[in-house]
Formats: sequence, structure tokens, C-alpha cells
Amino acid sequence: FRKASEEAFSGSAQPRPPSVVHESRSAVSSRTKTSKLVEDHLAVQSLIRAYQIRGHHVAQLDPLGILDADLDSFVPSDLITTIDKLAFYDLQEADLDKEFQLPTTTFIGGSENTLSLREIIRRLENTYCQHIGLEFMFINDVEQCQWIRQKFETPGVMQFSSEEKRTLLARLVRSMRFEDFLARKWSSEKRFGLEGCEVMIPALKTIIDKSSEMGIENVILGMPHRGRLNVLANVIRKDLEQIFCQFDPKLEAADEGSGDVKYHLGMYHERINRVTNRNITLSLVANPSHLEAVDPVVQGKTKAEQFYRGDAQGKKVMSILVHGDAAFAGQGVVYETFHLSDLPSYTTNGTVHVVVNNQIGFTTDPRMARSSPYPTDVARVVNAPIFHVNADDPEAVIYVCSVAAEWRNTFNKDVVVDLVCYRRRGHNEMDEPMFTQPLMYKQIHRQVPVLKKYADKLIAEGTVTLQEFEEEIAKYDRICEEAYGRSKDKKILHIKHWLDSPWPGFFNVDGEPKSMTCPATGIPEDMLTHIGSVASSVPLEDFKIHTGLSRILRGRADMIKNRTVDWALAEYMAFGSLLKEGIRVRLSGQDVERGTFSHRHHVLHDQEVDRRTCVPMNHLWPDQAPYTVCNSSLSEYGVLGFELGYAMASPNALVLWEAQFGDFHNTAQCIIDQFISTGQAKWVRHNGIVLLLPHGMEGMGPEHSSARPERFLQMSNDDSDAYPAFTKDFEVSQLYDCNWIVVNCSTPANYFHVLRRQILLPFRKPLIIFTPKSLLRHPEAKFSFDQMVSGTSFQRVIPEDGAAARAPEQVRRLIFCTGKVYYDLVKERSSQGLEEKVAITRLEQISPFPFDLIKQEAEKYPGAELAWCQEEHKNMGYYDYISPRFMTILRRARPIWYVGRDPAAAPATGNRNTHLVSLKKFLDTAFNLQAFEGKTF
Amino acid sequence: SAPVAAEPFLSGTSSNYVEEMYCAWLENPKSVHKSWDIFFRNTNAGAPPGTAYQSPLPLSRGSLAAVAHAQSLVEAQPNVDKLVEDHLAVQSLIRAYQIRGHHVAQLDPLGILDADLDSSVPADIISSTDKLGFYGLDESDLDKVFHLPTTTFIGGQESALPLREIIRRLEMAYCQHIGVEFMFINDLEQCQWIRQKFETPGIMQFTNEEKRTLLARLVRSTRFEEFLQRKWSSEKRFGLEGCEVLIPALKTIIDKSSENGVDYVIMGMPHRGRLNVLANVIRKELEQIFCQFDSKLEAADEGSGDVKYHLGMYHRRINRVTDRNITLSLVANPSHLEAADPVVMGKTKAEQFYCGDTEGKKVMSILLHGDAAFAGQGIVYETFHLSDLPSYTTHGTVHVVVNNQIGFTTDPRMARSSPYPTDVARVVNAPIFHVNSDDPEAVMYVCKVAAEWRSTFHKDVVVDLVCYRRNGHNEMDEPMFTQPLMYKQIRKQKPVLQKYAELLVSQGVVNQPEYEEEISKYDKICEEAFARSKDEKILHIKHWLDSPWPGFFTLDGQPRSMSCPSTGLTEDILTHIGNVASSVPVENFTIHGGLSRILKTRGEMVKNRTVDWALAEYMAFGSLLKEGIHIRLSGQDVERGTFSHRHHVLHDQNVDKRTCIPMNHLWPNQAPYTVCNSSLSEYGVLGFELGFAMASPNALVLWEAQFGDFHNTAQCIIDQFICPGQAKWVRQNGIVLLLPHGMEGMGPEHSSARPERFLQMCNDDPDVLPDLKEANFDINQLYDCNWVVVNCSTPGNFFHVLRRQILLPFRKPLIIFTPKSLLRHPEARSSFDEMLPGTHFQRVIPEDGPAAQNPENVKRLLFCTGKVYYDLTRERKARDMVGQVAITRIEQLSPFPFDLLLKEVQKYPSAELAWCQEEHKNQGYYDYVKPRLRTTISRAKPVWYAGRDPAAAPATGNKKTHLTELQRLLDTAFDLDIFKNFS
Repeated sequence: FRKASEEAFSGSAQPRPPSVVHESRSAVSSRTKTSKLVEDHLAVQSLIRAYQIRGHHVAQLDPLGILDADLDSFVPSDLITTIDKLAFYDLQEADLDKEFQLPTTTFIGGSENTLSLREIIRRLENTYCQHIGLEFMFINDVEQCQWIRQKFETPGVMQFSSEEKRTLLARLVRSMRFEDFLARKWSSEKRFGLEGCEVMIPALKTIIDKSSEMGIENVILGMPHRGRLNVLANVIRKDLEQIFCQFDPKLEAADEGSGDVKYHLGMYHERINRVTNRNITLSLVANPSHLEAVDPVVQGKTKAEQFYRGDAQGKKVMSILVHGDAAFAGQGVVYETFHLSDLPSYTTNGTVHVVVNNQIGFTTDPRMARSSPYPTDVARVVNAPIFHVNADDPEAVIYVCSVAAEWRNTFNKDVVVDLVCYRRRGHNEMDEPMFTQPLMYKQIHRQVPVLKKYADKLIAEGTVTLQEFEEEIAKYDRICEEAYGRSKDKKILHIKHWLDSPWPGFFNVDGEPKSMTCPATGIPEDMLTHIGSVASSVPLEDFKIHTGLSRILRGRADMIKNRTVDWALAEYMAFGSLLKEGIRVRLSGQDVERGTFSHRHHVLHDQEVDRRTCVPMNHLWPDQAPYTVCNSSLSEYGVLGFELGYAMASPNALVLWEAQFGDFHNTAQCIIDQFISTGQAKWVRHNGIVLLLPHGMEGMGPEHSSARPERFLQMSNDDSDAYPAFTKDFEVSQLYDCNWIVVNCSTPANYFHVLRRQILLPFRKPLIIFTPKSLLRHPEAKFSFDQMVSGTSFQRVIPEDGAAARAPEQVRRLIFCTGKVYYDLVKERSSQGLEEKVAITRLEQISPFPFDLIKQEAEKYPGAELAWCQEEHKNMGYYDYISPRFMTILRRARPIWYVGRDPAAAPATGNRNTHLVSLKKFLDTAFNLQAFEGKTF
Repeated sequence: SAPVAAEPFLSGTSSNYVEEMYCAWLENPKSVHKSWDIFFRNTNAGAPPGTAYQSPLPLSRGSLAAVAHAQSLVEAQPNVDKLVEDHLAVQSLIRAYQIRGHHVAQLDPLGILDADLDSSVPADIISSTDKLGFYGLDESDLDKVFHLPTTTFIGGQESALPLREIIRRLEMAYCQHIGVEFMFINDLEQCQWIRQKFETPGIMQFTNEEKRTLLARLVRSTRFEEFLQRKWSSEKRFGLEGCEVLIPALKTIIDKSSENGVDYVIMGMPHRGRLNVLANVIRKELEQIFCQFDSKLEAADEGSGDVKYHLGMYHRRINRVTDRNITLSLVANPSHLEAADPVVMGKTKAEQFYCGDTEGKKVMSILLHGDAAFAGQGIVYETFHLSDLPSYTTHGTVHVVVNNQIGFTTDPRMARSSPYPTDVARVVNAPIFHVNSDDPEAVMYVCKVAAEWRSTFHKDVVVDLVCYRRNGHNEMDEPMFTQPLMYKQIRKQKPVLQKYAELLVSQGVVNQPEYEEEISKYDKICEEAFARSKDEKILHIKHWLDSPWPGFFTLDGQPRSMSCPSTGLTEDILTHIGNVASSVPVENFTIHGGLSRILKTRGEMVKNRTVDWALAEYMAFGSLLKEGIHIRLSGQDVERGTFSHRHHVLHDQNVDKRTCIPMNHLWPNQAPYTVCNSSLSEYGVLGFELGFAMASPNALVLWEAQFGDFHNTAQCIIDQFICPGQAKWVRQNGIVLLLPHGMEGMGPEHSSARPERFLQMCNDDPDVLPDLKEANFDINQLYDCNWVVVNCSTPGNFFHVLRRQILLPFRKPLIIFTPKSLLRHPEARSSFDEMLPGTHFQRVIPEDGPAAQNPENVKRLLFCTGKVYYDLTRERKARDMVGQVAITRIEQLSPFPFDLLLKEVQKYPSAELAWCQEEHKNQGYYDYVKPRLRTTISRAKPVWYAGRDPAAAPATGNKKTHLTELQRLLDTAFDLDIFKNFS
């Protein structure tokens, strides 16, 4: 109302100075007939333009006829909604039958160049004010605007053959009867049915048909729960019995994972498109309840599929995203995903967005749900056209969808189809919507279902007979009944039937890994040297780099000469060697090209030539796989989701997301919780994504210190109290059973190995790596080639190997630790001269917990007290995870004492002095051999 | 009718040909150019503009025929009035500048990049004389006088101007150092307003006084950074160099707003330039800032603190320009960029609410953004979408973008998919003013207009300060590695202060000695403050408090007591609230039949002196309202409640949008109750409510998640603000999170609110047994904790914990895991007896059945929390083990009720102890409870676990598996032999 009254104020109520037209005309005091002709022509052009810009405001978009689909409910004064509004243009009724020359910015004339004003208005109304509302005039590109105008203005462009109409009717029958069938069979089950937007099925099928016609072979879809079963059944063509048996609450799950509810599962299906007779692969990406979270995942997967098919322009692979109106306006990840849409390393060359615009979010009125007129305004940010359409006009919907598909194919840009519909039931089938939306639902209860409306229309037109229509219904009902009969035979649920990204050839036919071993991850010395020398050089001619960088490269060359590596070089070695083996490597994140800490420098910048860059990693070998390193937008949620999707597409790629600082991961917490940690358990799909999370307490304050390892460890699915069975392949089978791997490497060599292991393993698990900050430049954190050459492997535990290890019986205390604190401990030990009394062993792989190696270490020092030392606060870091596991492996016979900072609310202090004091304090405890005397455990 | 006839020209309807041709020309210049020849020939011959031009392929249809037709027209009417055409052309030209002038404005002080990534030069802007041809005009027309349309203000007093002058003035308005984007706004009044502000001749003139003030402010801004640079050259401070103009910019916005009646400005900003803003805008004492650089200064023990470029501030003073009182506060923030946006908005909304400022005339918010984060972070979009919602609007925010044209090391072309970083503002139709930050007067003018816009229309507005970053991302960073050419230019760039001083000296506004004196004056201020800062022995975070709560604490900032009164209520209050809750307090209001039933049931419960969950909440809210406590409940679908149990807003079934909130009809002088469905956002809305709760301790602010697991999209607010807020910034916050939680076989989503995550973040030590004999043990424990985590098993206890939240003498965030199926569970009811005066929140509900009567016979003492209690008692009864197994509920999980649990354990000397939960082992409460229970009993006994195995997902998706698991955990809980063989 407020908006409406504002508009009324500015639109008509406000006293306004004399009009422009008026004034300019008065300048021509002697008004000739000719000038009247000119003016009227210009007026007509204005009128045409007004319809093009603002016609959507008066289009009949709401099938319920209650709300306007836009919250801005005023009627623009420059549209001829009544005859008297002709005066707006200084025209009058008498002008209606005059003929006007049409400008080139309209196509309403068809083959004619002139039309009567009456006909012009009629045709404009037909195009812009019926059941389609077009928003596109904000696009600053004439070709694109002309294209759209031509698609919608050309007379008769929206005509359908009888065949097409019958197909559409048949699709509506399927859409409608599918829901009816479910409602009949399982009346008290939640299924988030499509009722009120049945037209979405033919809509999606049209987009797919049309895209297939234009060469698309692979369509990747993402969508929320509403209508999902219907899409699976009637768009992707999942076997109906597979869907129906999901409704049986007594069916046991096969033991592949803990599973997910039926309206979240994904699907992959390859088939022949009946309309185009071409092969098409459809996949629907599994998703959580978190609305829109799947958007970037779908985009990442699409980008990957495009990459693997060499489809640089998105001609073969495309994505379709289905949205709800409330989430589209409410969730920030929508905006983040749109901002990825035109970035070189993230674009999928256009996505078709379909909004299922219920005009309500659960119980919330749109007026309380968004601050923009339409739910789709976010698309304006990237200049994507928006087609609103009344979902009760199936032909209009189909037409709009085919134009959207053509748009995507022509301009390779995003486009939005806004299906303005309603939700016949509550938020789910059990919910009563009348409590909060009484009048809307009164109208909905009166609303004739779209299928009935359309069937009546076609019968009236004579396109089908009533009998044919009823036959079509009976036919599909029979299909459902038969499938239902078959579904009763199912004894067990297989989540693997719902896999959205199969990896053919990677597993054996049973979906098991081909082996349960991991080869050594070391590589030959000459390869190390070769990669190292490329990493310390500029492989392009006449390329001038910054002198500071020259120094860095020189430093690298010296290291290679000395057969040592630091962190950056170790990473180079890992990436470079994998590229040689044909493994694609993609590293994405904020400022990853140079590295947050200015240590990586994977992209060199010519200091003289603007935008000339060089990626030495792509100059390693002639036949190497390509390396992509890309600075992302300043998003975590969107970008991590994207990379997860990218990693889904193939097991033969190392996909890494690096956080600028580890603590930034929590804006992407939803991706971590809903996809990375639980993905395999819910959806039996593996994912080998690597998270690089800079972590370490360096006195820099509560932010940027902690990547919150405790949170990742807490989400690990192993049992702290179960004593493990040490089988022969313990190490690998432990990895196979876990939901993800959490490591904190203390040496560059181990970092090198763990990256390589990620690919050499016969299965894929997400890998969380806490990466160092100050260690990147720590002089002691450099390691020899010896630890990386062929035959060497990732060390899950690095045992003490100094004086203490040589006389273990002398050792009074064995300190376990992980990561950077090791260097503090070693320094302190040496300054206290306790090398023989205190052994320090590093835990490199924290989860799965290396029970076997820890046991060995503990047993090696029978007379030693055991202590865990960490620099993180007690309720953070690793202590809560390792402590019960130590107790288990020690059979609760010996305590493991805690040495570290006290529990805290913030990850670190903001006071430098406090930081140093607390560091000193826990180091003192670590080497005070009396510290735990008299304590119980 | 004449008045509305202006509109076609507003929408550019007359210039459509021309515009389109411009774009076509961009597509295919040659062919289009040729067609222009035809156009010119035809128009010179006198063809009407509409017929003279035929565009080339691919735009035209049947162009040959059309040309033929046009020619026939030409022949027929040789005397078409050129004057009309030219006037229309001039109008098109004006409109082109209004729409597209910003594309050619000189926005980048470095002159390298265009500030917009779309680098094409529009053909309809007269960047050279030959482009006049675009409009069918030529050089000879330049001196012709044209009437000006009403959609422009370039004429000033005059209604006609020569074309030359028109172009000059348009260039002045739109193509200099200000780029105005506003023509997408669909409101004539607003567009006219903006045009008037920028087009009126001479409008951007400054008095000498104003110029001198501006110079002085630039001196402060520049010299402050230089001072820090000199004193602490190797410290990170995220200095403002390259955007020094931000300080006078903000001061202008504040001055202007103060002039328009604003007396409270709440700001949020990232780290860059923050110290400078604190020093020179908020006017934090310099020594307080300087002593933050002393790494040896110890912290006072109020909290763990934060780095200096994150701290907040609150300051009340006289605005020197307007001579009015003004309160400025800068909200503390984390490194997570833009996360403070909704917090600032929420705080602003609250301050407006408390001073009855329903139109935002007195309190306003200013948000500063970096260019990369503005485009990258979804929270920006979520916050914009709150801007016009009735319960969330702050009636306009001035957004200032510090547009470095780079994000750390990332080029804008890799950082966004839109031309400007500010395009998000288009979503809500906010005008965007781009300005070259090396032109301080242009910046001041734009800021002044922005402030006026906000006070006129109460809508958001964006000022995009196109600047550069003289140093790297921080002072220690080398930017040349990745941006060599940009930084070469930056090295050559003269600082804005020097530029502006030279300008004013050359204008004679100041002389060199005056200028130098201004500099040395401020340097001296800095030096003196520096000397004083050396005397500081200790850092006090409380000096950096952004939201003081006057009167709530003692003068030392301590709570006024360390006790909490009874949270019970008298029976008549309970009955009264219950009666209102079960009625419709408005006449002639038809409610839904189903709802009538619900209200009737409520009525019966009240008669029977019992409450369910919804009624208990009603009682808590209603009674606090009586005591003058404002209550605000916000979240997705909270009005009705996700589970359709609350119904705080009744909807008339016959009258559209007629609603009734019975809670506001309780007492004559009650505090107002706000219940509001939010947009479908968690991050934005939770941040907003946190900000709302910051403003005052005398309000109960609750955010309810639609389902508990949705909290993780707002994880940043929880991690960065709620959990460590007090530790970092010594500010308390009493926000309540209601997180529906419970394993009901509904799948991996919507089952768990992840209690384990909240418990893990509690700051108490599991291995230290506190002094249980201490007076007020429970209150002290609450005082020391960073937040309170509860899971109530009865409506009565839920009622008490909500009331306790306000009756406590301090504020802590309260995390409540709320039930789903228990909302309707017939046993989950509480009697009024549990809510009467003298009753209070029970941190532990001990066993009170047969087992408690004969404790020595009890073989097992089961501890649990929440809903599983009902499963356990049912199972115990079924197994007839009521004498053998005692079941005690922990209602307050953190701080851990050591005292009460010790009593419980001691009561059952021969009982085994077990913890039972329905959540998976690595989830729920076990990892938190176990070590603390062990500490409670000095590790004398084991604490066994009965519950689900560890898992990756919070719950299974298979109903059957769910039930099997449940049965298994119940079996374990009541199998008295099961732990026999374990050690």
C-alpha cells in the first residue's frame, strides 16, 4: 500500500510542470499538419516503447487474479488501459484508425510497415499485457533487445501445431496425474507436490527439448523439494517403482549410507530425447533442505562437464536452476552465484533459471519477504532478461521456455523464467494454509486446475476429443499402477540408484574400489628437479617480473640446488607431478594465484605489459593436464559450493579450495555441513575436494587465527571408544570408512605426499588440510628431496627421531602435538636441554586417527608420561578429539595430559602481550616434568 | 492531459531510434554509419524523423520497401518542421546524458581503468563534435537556442539555451568527476529530485569557509595515517591512503543529516581506514588509539580482546557544524567482511524503536563497504532485501563504497559479473552516485545529496568512492607482484591533500602558511596524544564499547547484584494471559475453524491449570510485556510457527490482510510485542536481531530458526558475534536463539540443530570442578560463561528460562533447543503449580518417581536431556523398571550444573551412570557432558553411553533405520548387564 500510494503520488497526484511534449510543441507556434504527423508518429513510438518497458506491470500474471505478481501495484499512466489515456500522448479516439509507420524497434507489424493505431495498441497488448510479462529493457545491448522483441512481438509467433498442443496436454496429464496418484496412495505423506504449478513439467521439458535441438547433450539441474519427485519421474524419467518404493516406511536401507529423504535425492539418466531424437544426459543434483545451497554446486558441476568435453562455449553442457520465490529473494548465495556467472573461470556460459513463484514462502507474504517488486530482481545485477508468465496459460509458459532456451543458446547469458503460480496445498501436504492466507486459499480452492482448463480449451478447439483426453489419463494412471505393483516387490532401498554423478570406470561394477591399497606417493628425483626448476624460472621470453619476485625465484632455485623444498615448492611438486599423470588440478579461492601470504606466485605478471601473465605450472611437460589457478570473487559460500560441484564431476582431478584465512570457512558452513561432511552418507557419492585452511596462532587476534579444527574433527564419524582391529590394510580401510580426512602437516614433504595420496587412493574422500602461515617462511620448515623421492609416503605420524628416540627408556615425557607448535616445542626443549628426557611426536593425520602408530609410539616409551600439547584453546583445536581416542588405544591405563591454553569463547586473544604470555605458560607446563604430579585422570 | 505527458520523455520514448542506433553502431559501425547518411539526407530533405531512418541489417525488416516508402513520404511532404526534430533530438541528447553519462565520467583517479568494467563509449554522448551527427545535428546547430524540457534543470532560471551550452552543462553535470546512476528508478519525483541536485547550474559551489573546513578535514585524515606510519612503520593498520577523502565524506553525511534532524548515527565498516574514522569522525581520543599499538601493554582482564582495527566505539558530542547533539557509534566487527551490515541495521532499527522514531528521522545508519566484498558477499544482498520490510526497515541507509578497484590481489574483472561493484543496489531501486575521490569537492557534494536523499525519501542510497589503495592490502604487503601497472601509476599519483591544497592556494582561499600551520597543528595534537599514550599502563577494552547500557550496570560496569529473583508468576497473571491467548480480543473478527479449535483447547488447558509449549511461551512473553520489557520474535514463519502451534497473529478469514495480535491486548500499559515473519534469510536476519538486542538490555529479542539446522547459514554471526562477542568487545548480548531440534525420523535435514557445536564453543573447562559451595554458584557460573545452552523437557521450564533471561542482572546469549513433536505431546504439559511465585528454572530435573523413593535399590542412573526423556520413561514403564532405573534430566547443559548433578549421583550410591541421547555419538551432548560428569564425581565411576553410533549425517533418511536405531538405544539404556564387560 505504501508503495502504491507513493506511486499514486508521483504518478498523478503531484502537480507537475507543463509537459515536455507540450512545451516543445508550443515552440512550434505555427503548427502545421506535417508537424502534427511527425508528433503523432513520435507519440506512437513512445507508446510502443512504454509497452516494451512497462507492459509487464499490467500483464495478467497471477493465475489467482488477487495479487499482482509485482508488489508495485500501480498502473503506469503511459499504457493505454482505457481510451482516455490516449490523451497522454496527445492522441484521441479519432486517431485510432489512422495508419502509422512502425519504427524498426518493433516487430508487431510482421510483414507490414504500417498499422492503424488501434491495431498497434491491440498487438502491443497481446505481446506485453497478456499472460507474459517481459522485463528486458534494462539491458544495454540493442541486439539482445531486438532479439527479444522479435521473439515476442512478431504476430502469430506464439502459435502451436496440434501435435505440439497434444504433446503439451500429454505432459500436463503426466504432471498432474503423478501427483494425484501419490496423493491417492499416500495421503498422509509429505511429498512437496507440484499442485498449482503442474506446468513446470512441460516447461522444463520444453527447455530441454529446445536445448537438445540446438546441440546440448548434457543438462544439469538443481532444484528445491517442491515438485522434485514429479521432475524425477517425468523429466529425468526415473523409474516410477524406484520412486514409489521410497514411500514404503518399512523398507530397509541397503547399507551404503545413512540415506536421505526422497525429495532430496539426485539422479543421473542418459536417454534419447524423443522430440529431437538425440542422446541427452540429464542429471539432477542431490540437495539438502537449505534452499539455494545447491546453486553453486550445479554451476561447478556444469563447468567441470564443459571442461571435460572441451566445451569452452557451453554449447554442449548447460545448467538449469529451479528456485522458489522466497528463497530467490532471501538467500545471499543466489546473489553470489549470479556474480560467478560471468567470471572467466566460473562461467557456465548461461543458465536458465526457472522460478516457481508460489507468491508465498511457507506462511510468509511476499510483502514481508522481499524489498524489491519481483522476486527475480537479482537478475538485473547481471543484466539477464526476466520473463514472467502466468502458469495457468500452458502455451504461454511453453513459449517463454523455448525462447529462454534459445536466448541461452544465442547469447550464452543467464535468463530467468518466472512461473507465477500458486500452491494448491500448504507448504507440505500436512499443512493448513488457511490460518494465515485465508483469502488467497479461498481463491485457490475455487481455482480450476490447469489441466482441466487446458483440456477444455483443446476440446473446444477440436484439437483433442474428450475421449482421447480421458484415454491419455487412463494410460498414465495405468503406468503408475503397474509401477506401484512392481514397487511392492522391492525388498530393499538402494541409495546408489539415486546417484547424481557416476564415475564410470573408477570403481568396479559393484561400486567398490578396485583395490584397497595406496601406492607410494614419492616421485623420482629428476622429476622433482624438473618441476623445481620450472617453479624457479619464467618460462616465457621477454617477460619482465618484479625484482622482489626474482629474489623469490632465485631462493627457490637455491633450494632445488640444495635438494630442499619449502611449502610453496612442495605444493608445486605435488601439483606438477599429478599434471604429468594426466590429473587436472584446479585451485580456486580468494587471492590464490599469488597466495594470501605472498608465497605461491603461480601466476606471474609482466611488469611492463598490462595483463600479460604467465602460469609456469602449465609449462612443465608437453602432454600435461591443464592447471587452473583462479582468484575467485570475494565469496566463500558460492565458491566452495562451486568447487564441490566441480569435484563431483570426475575423480581424476584434484580440486582445491583455499580459504583466504581458515576462519572464513564458516560463511560456507552450509556447504561443509550439508555436502562435504555428509555427502557420501546421504547420497553415496564420493567427493575428493581438498580444503586448504590457513591456521595458526600467531598473535594476530581472534580473527584469522583458527580454522576451527575442532569443528571438523567433531564431525568425523569414527567412534572414539571402539578399539580398532588392526588388519593388514588398516591404514587404507580406515580412510575408506571415514567421512573425511583431516590433516595438519608439519613438513612441506608431508604436505606434498598428502596431496598426491588424495589422487592415488582408489576412492575419494574430502580432505581438510590446516595449512600454515608463519611456517611458510620458517627456516626450519624446509625439507630434503629424500623425503619425497620414489618409495616415500605420507607419514600419518612423525615419530620423535632425536636423542630421546635413541634411549627411549630414559624419556620421562612423550609429548604429542600437531602442526606448527612442534617448532615451538623443539626450540623450547633445546633451550631447556631436555632432548633426552622429552620426546616429541607429531600427529599429522588427525582423523582417521592413526591408532596403530600412536600405539607403537606410546609403547616405545614405557616410562614416559603422555601429554598432548596444542597452541589452541582447550575447547578448540584437537584435544577433545584425540583425548578419548588416546584413552581407547591406551586401554585407559595411562593418562594423556593436556598442555595448552585454557578454554575460551574467542579463538585467540586480541592482545599481543597476552598471546605471548599464554604461549610461554603452556611451553613451561610442557617441559615442567612435575606438572602433573598427583593429578588423577 | 498535460501534466502526465512528461512521462514518455522520461522513459526516453522519443529517443528510442537514436538509442538503438547507437547500440547498433557499436555492433556494426560501418553499415550503420552508411545508413546514417541516408538518415541525414532524408531529414535534410524534410522527411519526418520517424520515417527517414531505416536501420541496416540485421535490425530491419524489408528495409528496401521501407526506404522506398520513406522516400515517397519525403516527396509528399517536403516541409516537415526541422525545428521539432531538432528539439526532439536535443531531448534525446539530454536523456542520453542522464542515462549514460556515468559511462564517460572521469571516475578513476588513476585514469587507468574505467570504474565500470563495461568500457565502451556510448555513441550518443557528444564526446567530440562529429558525434552531433548522431542526432542529425551539426556544428552549425551549436549556437542555435533550444527550449529545454521539464526533465532537465540545466537551464537554471532560463528556459532556453544554445546547444553548445546545453552540451557543456550536461557534461558538467554528468561527465566530470561524478557519475550518477538513477534512471532505472521508476519514480518520476525521485528522478526529478536527483536531476535537480546535479543539473542546476552552479549548484556545486562551495563557500571559502566550506573549502577550508574540507581542507582541514583532509589534513587530519592524511596526517593521521602519516603519523601512524611514522611511529609504527611495520604495524598493520589498514590505512586509508588513497581514499583520505573518506573522512570528510563521512563527516559531510553526518553534518547534513544532523542538520535534517538526525541525532544518532550508527555505522558499520571494514578494517580499512577504521582507525582514521575512529579518530577523526567518531573522535575517539587519540591516545586510546595509539596505546593499542604498544605490543607490551597488558590487557585488563575483561575479555580476550580484539585487534585495534575491529573495535567499536560509542561517542556523544556536539556536532560543530550544526551545533546539535549527535551520538555516533561504530559497531565492532570481525574480519568477515560485510557481516556487520545486518547487525548495524538491527541496532539502528532498535534505536529508532526505542525513541519512537517510526520514520527514521532521528536515527540512521551508514554502512561502509569494500568494492570486492560488496559484490562478493551474499549477506549484502540479504541486507538490501531487508531494507524495505516493515519490521526490518531502517528507513534508508547511506552506503559508502570504498572502491579500491581491487580486492586484496584480485582484479575486479575476476571479482564480479556486473559492470560496477554497486549493481546490487539496483535490486531495491536505490540511486548510485559514483565519484572520483581525488575531487574532494565533488565527493562532498555527492555525500551531501546522499544524506538529503535519505532524509527526503527514506530509501537507501549508494556513494561509490572510486579511489585507489596506495599501499598493499595491508602495510606489509607488496602489490606490485600482481598489479604492476596500476601500482606504477599509484606511485606517480599526487596525494589528494596536496592536490587540493594547491588548488585552494591558487584560488587564494588559503595561503601556504595557513595550510602548513593546519598541518603542524594537527601533527602536534598527535604528538601530544602519543606522549600521553605512553602513560597508559593497561588496555581497557571497555573504552571501546559500541553499545553502552546506561543504568543497567553499576558505574564500574558490574552487575547490580549476583542473584536472580524467582521467575514464577501469580496465578491470576497466568490465568489472564491464558485467557487472552485463547480468545480473539478484537470484535467482528472471524478466525479459521481449525484455529477456533486450537483456542478452545487452550481455554480448557487454562481451566485445568496446565500449559503446553505454546501457552508457556505466551505466559513468559505476556508477563515480561507487563513489566515493560519489549519483546521481539523474528524469523521465518514465526507468526504462526513452523509447526503451526504458536498462532501469535490471527488472520481474519473474511477481510483481506486484517490481523490481530492478542499478545498486544494483554494489559493497558504493556510494552509492545513485535512478532515478524522474516525474509527467507538466516545470516541477514540473525545478524539483524543480534544488532537489535545490542541496543538495550530491557528487551527480549528472539530469533527462531525455521528448523534448527538452518542456523549454519548464519554460522558467521554465531561464531563471530554471539559466541565471542563479550570476550572480544566486552559487550553483553541477551539474544535468544530458538532452534527446533529432535530426531523424529524425518531425515538428515531438519533433525538436528547441532547442539554439539554450541556446546563445543562453551568456554568452561571440563576438567576443573568449580567451588560448589560458593554463594550464588549458579549465577556466578552464568556470569562467567559465554553463552547459556538449554534443552527444556517441560513447557514450565521453557517459561522459566525465558523469564530468567530478563530477570538476570546481566545478559548472555541463550541457545534453546526447542521441541517439535513435544509441542503436541500429551505428557509434555506443565501445571500452573510449576510456574507460581517461588518457582524457578530447574537446571536439572531429578528423578522423582519410585526410584527416588528408594534410591539404594537403583541399579542405573540415566542422565538425559530433552525429548528422549519421554521415550525413556515410556520404555522404563513398559519394562517395569521404575524402581531400578532413575532418569534425571539435565535442562541447562551449559554452564554445567555440577552442584545438582553431584547431589543426584550421591543419592544413588550403587547405581551405574549412563548418558542417554537420541543423537549420534559425535553429536548431541555426550562429548560435552561426559568429561564434566566425570569431573563432578572425581572420576570415581565410568559414565556409559547409550545412544546412536557416530555418524557423518545428523540422521538417517530411512524411517525404518531410524526406528531400529531408537529401539537399540532404548535397549542399551535398560539392559542392566550391557556395560558389565567393559572397563
